[in-house]
Amino acid sequence: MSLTTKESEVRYEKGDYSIIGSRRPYVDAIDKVTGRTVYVTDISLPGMLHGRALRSPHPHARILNIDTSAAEKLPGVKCVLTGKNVRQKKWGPVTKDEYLLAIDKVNFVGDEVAAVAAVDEETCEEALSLIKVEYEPLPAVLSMYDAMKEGAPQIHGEFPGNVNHHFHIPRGDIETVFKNAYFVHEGQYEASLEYQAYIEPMGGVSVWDNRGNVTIYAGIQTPTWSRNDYAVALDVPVEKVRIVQPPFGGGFGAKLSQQVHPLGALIARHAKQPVRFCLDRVEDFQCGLPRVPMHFKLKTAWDKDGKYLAKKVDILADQGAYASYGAAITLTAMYRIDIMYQVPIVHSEAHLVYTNKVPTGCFRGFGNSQKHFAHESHLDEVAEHLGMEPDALRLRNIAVPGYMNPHGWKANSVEIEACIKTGMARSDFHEKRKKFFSFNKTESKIKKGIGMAPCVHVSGNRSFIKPFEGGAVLLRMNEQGKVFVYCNEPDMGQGIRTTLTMCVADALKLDFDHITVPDPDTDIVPFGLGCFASRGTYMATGAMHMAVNDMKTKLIKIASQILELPEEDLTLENGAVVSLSDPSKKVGYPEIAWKHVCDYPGQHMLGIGHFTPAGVEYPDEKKYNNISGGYAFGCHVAEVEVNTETGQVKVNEMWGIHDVGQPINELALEGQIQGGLAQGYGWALMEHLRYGTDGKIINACFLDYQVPTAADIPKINAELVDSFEWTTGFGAKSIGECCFIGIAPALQNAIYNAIGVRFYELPITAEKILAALREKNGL
Amino acid sequence: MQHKELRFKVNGQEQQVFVRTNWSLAQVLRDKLGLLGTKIGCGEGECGACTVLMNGKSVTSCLVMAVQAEGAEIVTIEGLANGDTLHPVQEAFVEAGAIQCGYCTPGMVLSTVALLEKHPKPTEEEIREGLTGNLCRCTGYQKIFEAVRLAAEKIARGAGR
Repeated sequence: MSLTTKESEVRYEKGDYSIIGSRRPYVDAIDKVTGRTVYVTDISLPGMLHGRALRSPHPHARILNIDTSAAEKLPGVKCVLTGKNVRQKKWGPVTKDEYLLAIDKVNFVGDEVAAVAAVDEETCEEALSLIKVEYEPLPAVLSMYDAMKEGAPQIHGEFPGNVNHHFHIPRGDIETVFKNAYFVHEGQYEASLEYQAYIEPMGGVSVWDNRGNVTIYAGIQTPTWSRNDYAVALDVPVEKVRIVQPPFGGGFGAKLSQQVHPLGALIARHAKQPVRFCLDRVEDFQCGLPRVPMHFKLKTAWDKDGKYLAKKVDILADQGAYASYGAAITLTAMYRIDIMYQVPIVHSEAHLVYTNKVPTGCFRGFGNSQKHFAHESHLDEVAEHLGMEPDALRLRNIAVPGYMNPHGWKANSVEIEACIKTGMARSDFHEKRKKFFSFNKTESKIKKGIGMAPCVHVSGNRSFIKPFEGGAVLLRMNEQGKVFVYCNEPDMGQGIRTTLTMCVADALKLDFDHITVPDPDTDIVPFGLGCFASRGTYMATGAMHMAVNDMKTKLIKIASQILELPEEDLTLENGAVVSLSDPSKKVGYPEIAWKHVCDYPGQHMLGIGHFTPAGVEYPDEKKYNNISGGYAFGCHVAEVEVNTETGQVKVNEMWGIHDVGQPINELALEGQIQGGLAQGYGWALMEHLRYGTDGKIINACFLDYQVPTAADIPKINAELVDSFEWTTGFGAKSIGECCFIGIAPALQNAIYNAIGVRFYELPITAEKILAALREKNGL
Repeated sequence: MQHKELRFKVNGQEQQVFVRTNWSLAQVLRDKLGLLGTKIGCGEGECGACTVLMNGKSVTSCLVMAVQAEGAEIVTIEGLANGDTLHPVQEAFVEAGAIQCGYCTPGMVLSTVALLEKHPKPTEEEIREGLTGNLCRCTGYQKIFEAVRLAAEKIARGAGR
């Protein structure tokens, strides 16, 4: 097997698995269910102080003066920091545009102006109340539609017109196609600001040593990768920053590089003591990194049989006050979906603008969810115009294995047809459409509908580091024969710890009790990018496949010496190396491990694995080249009832059918699919982080920003279709984001099917439905 | 700031601690008694992560003032298992795959214990109603519902303690 990225002829075969593909509770579930798991916000270090930040009450204002003298005198306060009295550099994962503490100007309500360290949270609060800040309020940009207007207030001097990025990716002569096509359809769609609402707010605990090294215990998805950003923010060399990632209470994308960790570290540096800096829920609403709102103008061309000829999209995206990952998210919205359909001519253009609102960032789907909402609503409209069933239009155009799209992306395993057909069959889609058509003609105030949307996402996206893509696993067998797994694809509840444990158990025939996956620590784990872009399962199990084979070879070699049998006669079984010809001859791993430690004095046996996705290359200046080795597919279906008197939507049932390649842990996969669909339900029907005209969020608490509860979520059916991704050892693709992406448009299409009204803005609330029905009925 | 002596029983043990009168029960459990299994997700009684049992009823401990717990019997997640034997509800949550990030789990488990005390054979409606105060952002609740049904069966069969 070749390891070069250009090689796309890699072809792994499905193995004879005993544990992979079964249903396993999480290996850390018992600690979690007994309250023994120590989360980030539970961590307490000797001598630890607490940190809090003073935040701007203005969306846009100049800082004239900050008086911290009273706060400094308060007993229990260790230090008070402002942008004027600390050394700092602008930082940011893509654009370096943000200070840890504002210097001259604040750019959104929640922007950090000052910070304190004190003996407890209450003293911090009191100290903050004693800091006097004089502001000169400035006109603010509160809507992305105003950002580029002439005369709009300028947020960052170096970005005229408030445009952070402008992208244009044209492929082919689109105007000719539009001129000659049988049918051209246009539509506009808007995806709203949605908050991740993980149950543990953002936070970390930082401690410095005398040599200027900082350790941050952080709720973070990307420990090694974010170290680079945090080093810039703290103006220290990256090797001085160590991140330990303890268990944390959910991320969904928000917990990549965050202001909270380097700011906490900055406070600790000045306090000269460990500092716990965790957000409260209101702050987390105010300055977490919610989903990038986007407006789409879509124009598509079709022949009379429903063949998809061309697609043009124009996007306006709102990254709020600071850029975070806005550029990469916007790019994803422009073209990620182009690997699901065979469309020869695709043009996309986007403007990513600053506004004086919360910085927006990564959230499950990374722009692709926004695009799916627009595109899959649009395709339902097209199907209706062409007189085709919604699934038939999609099936007419879907990608097939080996498909190379206009961006140079190549699909390997593709089971989207099976996903769509299974989704249709399980939900009884066509039969229900007929039944509901008749039912909806009756006088009933209830109208019924069913809708679908297919979906695609990557398993890792090669767009971040030019010379690097892939993953690594390091296995270490200690002298008792216990295996430790070091990997930089962290667990945030999605279950990668269990996935890796299952792979080791399956390949090395070892029981779970002898396998441990420690919390990632950047001083120990191999380099890796971390948990985003649905990288984890695909990358980590790919590397794991090589690591277990490495360890297996070493086990057999030493066992051959102990047993005095040829290596070809040996196999692994139940924690031992066993003779194939005479199964009574065997030696257990503890004995082998001890011999290794004695033969190579003190050295533990290592299993080393790395993984490079075949046929994946860094995009060129025209954004051309394949970005992922494992495109994951799905189909989501939703069945609804709309009460035409109240506008309320009752969702009866949802289906998520997915192609994840070889399933590793079916129990966890079902959990991901059900959780993804439920989160998408919230985005589609309930959730919207709303701003008042004063530039403040008006629903910054769970009472006003309602996420789905146990009472809301209907039955969710999860199913996997038969698949194997041959570019990775265990055949597994990732699920994390794909399972979120299709359900919002499926719900939109179901509501349209019920009442004949389409909604071009999320969320689709009862109020909007009622207003639309009144308008439709001329009331 | 006023201080007061608080006497109450936590997980079967008598406790006597000095607390500030403005402290919540959650703060005392976490900061004074080291019972970190009681999580704080919002501090406003909206997310349910801090749910504990107070005199047999589920309460959001971030909204209960510590001094209100005078003389009360509190059960936190740490007090639910019987030695190494998990409570049937805990066992069911593990087996059903009802735990992902796990931050809502202690509160969700204790709400389930309270729910099953009230409705030993809960209907779908009663399960949903009983857990509506506990937010979970990972699971979509499906496997939690399965866990509740499984726990009800286990308790009916007399499993666990």
